[in-house]
Amino acid sequence: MEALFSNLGLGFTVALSLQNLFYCFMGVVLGTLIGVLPGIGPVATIAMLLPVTFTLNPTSALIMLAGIYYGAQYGGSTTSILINLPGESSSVVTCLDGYQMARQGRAGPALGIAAIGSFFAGCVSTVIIALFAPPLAEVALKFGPAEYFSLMVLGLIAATVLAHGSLIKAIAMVILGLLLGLVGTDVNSGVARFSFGVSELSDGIGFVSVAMGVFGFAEIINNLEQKEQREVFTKKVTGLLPTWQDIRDSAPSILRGTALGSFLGILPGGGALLASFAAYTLEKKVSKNSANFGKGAIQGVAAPESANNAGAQTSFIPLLTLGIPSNPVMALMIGAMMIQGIAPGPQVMTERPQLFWGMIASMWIGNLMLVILNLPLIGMWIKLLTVPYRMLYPAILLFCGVGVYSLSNSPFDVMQTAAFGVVGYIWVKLECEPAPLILGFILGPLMEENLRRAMLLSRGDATVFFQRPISLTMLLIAAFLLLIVVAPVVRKKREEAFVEA
Amino acid sequence: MGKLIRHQVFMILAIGFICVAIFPLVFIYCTSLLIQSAVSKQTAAKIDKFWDTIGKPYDYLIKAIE
Amino acid sequence: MKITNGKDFWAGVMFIAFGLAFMLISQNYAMGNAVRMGPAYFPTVLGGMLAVLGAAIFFRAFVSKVAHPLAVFPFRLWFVVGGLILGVIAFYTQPLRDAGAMVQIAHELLAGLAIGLLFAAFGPRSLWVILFSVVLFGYLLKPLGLVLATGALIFGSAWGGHEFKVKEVTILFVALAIFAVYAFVKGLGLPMNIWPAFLE
Repeated sequence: MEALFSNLGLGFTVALSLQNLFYCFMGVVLGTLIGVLPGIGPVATIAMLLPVTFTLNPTSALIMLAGIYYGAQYGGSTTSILINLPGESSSVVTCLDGYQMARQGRAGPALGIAAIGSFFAGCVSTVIIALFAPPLAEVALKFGPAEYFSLMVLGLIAATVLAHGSLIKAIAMVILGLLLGLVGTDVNSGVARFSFGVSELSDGIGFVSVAMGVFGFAEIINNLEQKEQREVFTKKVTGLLPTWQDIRDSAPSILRGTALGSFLGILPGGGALLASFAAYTLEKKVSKNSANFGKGAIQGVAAPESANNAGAQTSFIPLLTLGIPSNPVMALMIGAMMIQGIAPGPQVMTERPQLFWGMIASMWIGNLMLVILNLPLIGMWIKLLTVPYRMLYPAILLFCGVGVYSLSNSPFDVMQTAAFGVVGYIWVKLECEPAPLILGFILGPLMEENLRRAMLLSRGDATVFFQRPISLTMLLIAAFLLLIVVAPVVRKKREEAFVEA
Repeated sequence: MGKLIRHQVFMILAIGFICVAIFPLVFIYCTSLLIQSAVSKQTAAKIDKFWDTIGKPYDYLIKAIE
Repeated sequence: MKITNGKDFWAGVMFIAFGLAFMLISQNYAMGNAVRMGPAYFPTVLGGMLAVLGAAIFFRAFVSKVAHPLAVFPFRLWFVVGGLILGVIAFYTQPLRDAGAMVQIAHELLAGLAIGLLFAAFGPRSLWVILFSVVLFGYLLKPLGLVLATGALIFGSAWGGHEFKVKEVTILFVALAIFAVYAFVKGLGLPMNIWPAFLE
């Protein structure tokens, strides 16, 4: 127990430094900003800022990027409630009841409970990370290449199972991602694979290019294709604070949302998005007020908003303890760590405790900053919603362009990103999910490396993955997940849950 | 001017109060809900009244802010 | 046989194509065996799996209950063909670039045209105008400097959108150019020239 306190103490010393406070603040402000603005989300923003993190020290960089992710969960609820347009994908469910509350003149309490629930969840999940990460990292230190390989298989399968849309297409996208990740020089043999003699490709396709192109550019093009008229409730929002009755009604939802969100965030493939959907579905079944869901039940706002914050923060656990990304945002974080020359994995905690504990402490500080930004200062964000999209996207393109270019001062990188924008657009049109692809892309070379080592150690015996207990367990879970999804019962439930959104 | 400052101060106090109080509140309230479902109707009603009274100063504070 | 699900049809085609492509290209590298995997081992296996999944999706398109039209997005085959031909020409004439500045510029224009055609093959006008502006931005940054390249990007991408009001876009450009210079060059210290290279 005292180890926990001394670690947290270390963390706070790091997080409370002026520099880190500044970057934490920047991160959460930026996060709220892009959360509020529809059409740009944490993935695109973090991808845009990856080149910038090169100039910062690793702790500050990760603190800022993390702030963007969980900050966006706060901001996303604002547009959902006021305009029925989710500012962030995990805020889609908040539209359902939040907007109805706004139409009934209760936008204030809705926004207020969203912020309060998010704050509660953010703080509690930070504690959960502090409690569970160290033992998990200890287990992970015993992992050999076979375990890592199976873990990655589990992660990728979980990501496809928990994604929307066709399962088989998601798996195909994962494999395509793995293949694209293999482009470049093979470390073992020195052979330049799939590079067609283009020298810029011999180092592989830039991760930032893929992420920004597919998530940033393709999204912009898609947004432009849909011109929508939305009724806006941005008139004076008064009565921000929920009544005592509101708080009483929401308390169980907040607790359930936080619990479910924290759990789902840890799962590979999990994160804010899955957490919010699941929490809403659960709440609808369990709450006493379920008849009012969809018509302005405050529980329908409290539960998903708490869940998405909890999920966003606990999804850092697999990253910081196992070195495995559980969702595209975490994949970008790995990218940021690699830019800094840090190899992600369980050794991060022991080799760089200031980084690890500093991040955790700063999450708590960030949540505090966010509740202030989102409650009294919410008027500021509402004004922002009046900027028309056509002014916004050229600016976004500029930032992305500069960002990508500055990675290695290469126009080729910019073109690569634009090419992935085209490809990303095609994928969206063909209903192929890009998120599993990004995960596969990051894990591709790692999987090959671990597969090779495992086979080398076992002298070509492929059953080694099934013989070692941890590896076997993971593969069994993966198979189990696949079976669940294929079973018709669950299939229908999945479709239902996603149709509602 | 005085009213504006008073407004801001109360707002900050209220938010500060909520941020600190929300933690024990959620846990204790939810536990009390569980208790309520397990005891007799009269006790449950008494617990309800208890929470109602607790909330009165909070509601008063909010009204004062608006 | 009727193709019910256009999206799955093309998705299947795409996956089969990628899978086969990766498998074929991997033939150039050493396979190795299970114990010591060569560079071709993993890609071949994955490529095979991808092709199989692609085939499954492809066939599913015929029996799917979900109906989508076959024309998923505006696709102009001739653009792809043209772009590919020009691209191949550009690729093989690369050694000629040393012949002189004029040839270099001509070659760059050729490559640009190839890329532009390939982009334009796939989507609405906004797609290729905007993305081409981005590519342009990347290539113009060094010769023309940040301010002018930004101008190309802002005007180009705004033109690709729905409404284009010259005054509005100009103000946006000026504001962003100022912001970019101060935030990126002065603030973050990114090494890029603000004005055209031959002026500095």
